[in-house]
Amino acid sequence: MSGHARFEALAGALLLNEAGERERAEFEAHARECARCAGDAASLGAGLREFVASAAARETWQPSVARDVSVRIAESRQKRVRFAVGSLGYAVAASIVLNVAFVSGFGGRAIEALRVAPEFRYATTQRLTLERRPPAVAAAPVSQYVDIRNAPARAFYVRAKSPQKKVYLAPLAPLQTPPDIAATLALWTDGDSTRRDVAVQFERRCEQVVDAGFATGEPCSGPTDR
Amino acid sequence: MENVYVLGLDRTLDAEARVERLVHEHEARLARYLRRFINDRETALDLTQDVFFAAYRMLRTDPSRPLTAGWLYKTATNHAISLLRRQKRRGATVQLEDAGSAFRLDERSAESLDLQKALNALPHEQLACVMLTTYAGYSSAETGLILGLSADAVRQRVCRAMRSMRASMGVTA
Repeated sequence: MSGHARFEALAGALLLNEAGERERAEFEAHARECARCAGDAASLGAGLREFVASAAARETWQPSVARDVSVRIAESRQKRVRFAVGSLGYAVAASIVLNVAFVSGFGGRAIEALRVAPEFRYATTQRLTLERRPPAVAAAPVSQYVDIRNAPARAFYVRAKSPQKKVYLAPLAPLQTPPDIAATLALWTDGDSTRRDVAVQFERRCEQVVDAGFATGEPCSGPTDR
Repeated sequence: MENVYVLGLDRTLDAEARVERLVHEHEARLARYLRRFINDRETALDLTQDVFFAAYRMLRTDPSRPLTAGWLYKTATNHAISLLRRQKRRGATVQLEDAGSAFRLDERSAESLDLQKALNALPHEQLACVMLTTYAGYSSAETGLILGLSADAVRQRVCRAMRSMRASMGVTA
């Protein structure tokens, strides 16, 4: 606190009867040299502080705000109760709506619809672009197609697992035509029918070899696998 | 030391009962303080309700918090200064004759009206210091605690306020 402000504080302490003898003497010594503080020192005897203090004692106004405060407190309590009940009611209603929506399946369908919703892209300098995603059910699963160029030779047909149960015929590769095993076999006529039976032909050949008398006891080699 | 006198600290009572006790003990004194501060009886009553309702809200949210008489006067002073500042921004003026109507007939003495006129001419900070020290009876240290000032700052403002009031009321040594 600067020099003169300190003496103002001392004058205030004297006004409020909070100054000691040493502070009073210090202020009076300063007031003898300072005209402004001399005026403050002179006013100390005017009893202005006592006049202001006595104004409170002279007042006879006896107001009462107890009833108004009680009413306000009661209104505040009612507001809190209404707010709590209202919040609870809204929470219960929202819970019921959500439960009904998801139990009935509406919520799930709504979420699924949101997933395929078109995307909107906005830009301040560009035109509005609307992009629609292709529906997920339009494209057939890739696993239902068979590339016939890479299919094995013996793959004759592929049966699709689609709901329509369509059969996609795949033509054989031209350079990989399997040999006609039956064509190499001689016709065997047993009187009733003419058959090309590999096993019967080899059985008869083995019997002919045994009958010829060489390599008896040795097992007859079967037909080679083709 | 009245400022540290703890009010309504009875933990067995709820906030409403404690506020009722506060109102019973301080309503008249606080209302008179506010009326002298803002020079309007009806507004002083409204502000007194606001102060006690603020005390109720404080006790409801934090029942363990001690409530001092200084807190009541601090809240009342802040409310009054805010109101006076709003009135000053709006340019509201109160004539002395109207100001006199805020007092009862037995209080309309010339000295009382002169005192009110001198108080109305003070800046708000000086008015708060004068009212708390001379009218409410707090010391400069207690007033400093209430207003957030040092004791020397309070004494300095009281000195300047008394100088202005002496000039306004024509008091001579």
